[in-house]
Amino acid sequence: MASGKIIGIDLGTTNSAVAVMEGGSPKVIPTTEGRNLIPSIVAFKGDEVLVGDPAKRQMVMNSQSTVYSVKRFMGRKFKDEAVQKAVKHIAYEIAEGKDGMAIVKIGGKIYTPQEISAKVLAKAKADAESYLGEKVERAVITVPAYFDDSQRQATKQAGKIAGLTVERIVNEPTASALAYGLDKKGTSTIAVYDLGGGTFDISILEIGDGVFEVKSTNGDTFLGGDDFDNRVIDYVLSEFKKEHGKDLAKDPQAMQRIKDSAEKAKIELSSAQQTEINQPFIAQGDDGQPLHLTMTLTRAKLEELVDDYIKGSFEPVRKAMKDAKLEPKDIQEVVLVGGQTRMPKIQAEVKKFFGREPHKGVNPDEVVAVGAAIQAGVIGGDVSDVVLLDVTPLTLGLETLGGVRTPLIERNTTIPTSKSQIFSTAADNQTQVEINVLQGEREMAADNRSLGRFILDGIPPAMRGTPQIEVTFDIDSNGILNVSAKDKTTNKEQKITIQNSTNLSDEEIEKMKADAEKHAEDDKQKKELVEAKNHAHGVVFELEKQLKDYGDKLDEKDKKAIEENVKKLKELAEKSDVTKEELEKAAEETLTSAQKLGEAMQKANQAKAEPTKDEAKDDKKSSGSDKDKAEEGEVVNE
Amino acid sequence: MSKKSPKTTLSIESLQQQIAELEQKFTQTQEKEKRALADYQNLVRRNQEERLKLIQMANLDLMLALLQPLGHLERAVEQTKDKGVAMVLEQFKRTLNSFGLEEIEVQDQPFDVETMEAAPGSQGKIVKQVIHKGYRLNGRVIQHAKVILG
Repeated sequence: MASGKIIGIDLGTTNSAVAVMEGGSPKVIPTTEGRNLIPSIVAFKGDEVLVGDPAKRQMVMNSQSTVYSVKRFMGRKFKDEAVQKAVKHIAYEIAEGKDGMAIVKIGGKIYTPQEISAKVLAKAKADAESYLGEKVERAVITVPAYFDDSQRQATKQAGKIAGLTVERIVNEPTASALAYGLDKKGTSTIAVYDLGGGTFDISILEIGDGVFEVKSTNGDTFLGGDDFDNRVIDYVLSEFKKEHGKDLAKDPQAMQRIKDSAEKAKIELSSAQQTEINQPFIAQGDDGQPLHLTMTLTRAKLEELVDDYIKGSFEPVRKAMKDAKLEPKDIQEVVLVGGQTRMPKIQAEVKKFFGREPHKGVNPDEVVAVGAAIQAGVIGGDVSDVVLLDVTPLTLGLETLGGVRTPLIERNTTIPTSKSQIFSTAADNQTQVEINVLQGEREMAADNRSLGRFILDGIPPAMRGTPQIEVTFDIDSNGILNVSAKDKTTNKEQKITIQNSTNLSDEEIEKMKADAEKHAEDDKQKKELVEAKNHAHGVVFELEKQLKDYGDKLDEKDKKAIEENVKKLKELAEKSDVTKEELEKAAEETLTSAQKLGEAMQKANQAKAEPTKDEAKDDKKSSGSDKDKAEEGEVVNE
Repeated sequence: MSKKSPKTTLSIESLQQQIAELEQKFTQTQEKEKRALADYQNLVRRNQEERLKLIQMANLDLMLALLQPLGHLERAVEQTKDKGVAMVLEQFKRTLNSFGLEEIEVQDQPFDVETMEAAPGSQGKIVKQVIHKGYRLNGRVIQHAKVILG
């Protein structure tokens, strides 16, 4: 069996899409043109074959050699009613081939619909290879639920011609249901309403034990988003004619502009209640004056214009329900597929008919390809056998100065992972620090769960903030947390191992998260107050030190005033009912009042001809890169 | 000794089997690890490519949104022959050019599928009318010129 990724391909009538499982979730692969869809169009120009967007761009000038909607002929006999009906809508030639099968004739050459589809599949394969950076040899391809065995065989052959081993042919509605994970919901009956660019399909599925059964299908092979566009274009043309007496349908340039703006307006009306169609200088009047097209199109008007299409689509739905011998109330899940189902009116009508909200989270243009990729993942073992990388359900951190929790590994981080941060001491000559390992989402240490604590001692006595203590959190793939603290000066290290740091019941996790949300504002205020206190203490400490070193350079009066302020700030920071604002204001004022001290310090420094290396380092101790920036650690009183 | 030998053989056999199983498991694990690493490296590469594209195409949406008013302004100049408006148009174009927008010359050129899209009414191979102009942004085609061929 070949190895490598298996891709999922939605081989559509109008557009195709490719997706693949990546890191456990489906991803739609962009084409080399940078789009997520490949127009299912193949053009022949001499020896050259164009596929997708380039083929579409030259379609009108090369209509007899440009093949589109070939899916309508896949695995069908030329004399089939469906083939005869479809032939009326195409510009290239369809003829009767071997065994009476429908074939495509281009410039005297004969192609089977399989060969044409193979070109689209080959492009899908090439785009996937360029995206993944590896060979792709296997695929899951989707087909409409109503495809018979011959049509499925033809699709499989198309894959083979494109150099793909078709691992499985999956029904489009089944793929859509897979994309919404409906296979995991136990037994249920699902309706899939699929209104794409050119076809409408309704499928009723039943799922039990992961097996999908198609109960019935119906649809309209010639109804799609393009019909909706045409209604808007006709309306714009008639309104313009009413106002200016000029028929723009004969002007190809004006027609193109109207066509583009009609499609844009239709899309905008899926999110807005009304939109402007503005095309200034669209034509010139009989008097040579410029004519401008300007009109407002409301959502209500659009709904009125296409009302019969929407209502009409429920006729096949009713038939499908009747064939499945079901009532709308028997349907448990409804899925919307196809770009046109973005229209709010369609969503509302579907909801009204089935009496339940349809699934619509996945991009309706890509949902089939996504489902195909999921099926491909199951076959390739990517889905069932996937190494399920766990995540840490709650934030892991440690307690720092003032009982604040400092997070190291945020929740939902994929494990295994590790993170280091440098901390420092909070008091002068502090020789040990306590590491309290915390789990939880609350801002204050005490509100979180303590997983364990240990002490790193033997730190050489030094000024507060000087020692560098590197704390490392490391979680292995089994959720075992190793926490180590290392004094970078002495290389002395202490560590603790915590088993099952991720092993919490879902209820516990939810409770902790809910608690954090409930107390978020409270916690934030508490934390800010502690930070303001820490800051005030820092200011007091710094100024006391400076007063000690340079106080003699000041007037006695100035010195007294500064000392007074420092004392007041120190007292304020000790008060239990102090607010963050009061503290911040006092610290600011104290610093401002101590400007003279700063000046004296500067003068003293300048007076020294050349500072010694050690002194220079001391002056710079508050700078340095962010990486090595020391945070003050929890104080342990000796 | 001889009595013990069958038991020893059995034990060796079972150990050999165990080794084989472990070897197989090891190979599988190694394969999985390589695959995960490859996936990761591919992801890193793609991330870099996408970031580069993102930087180059950061103005893409804005440029695309400006193309329609630009076209309308050109039409206004064509129809009104107003010199002042023509100056505004020139200034507008120069500004867009400085951000990497470049008009694709197509008039009287043979059809090129890479830069053009044929509009209904086309018969022939040479561009005789431009319905809307084509543009490149930093070398990449962001709007194909819609043309009628004759």
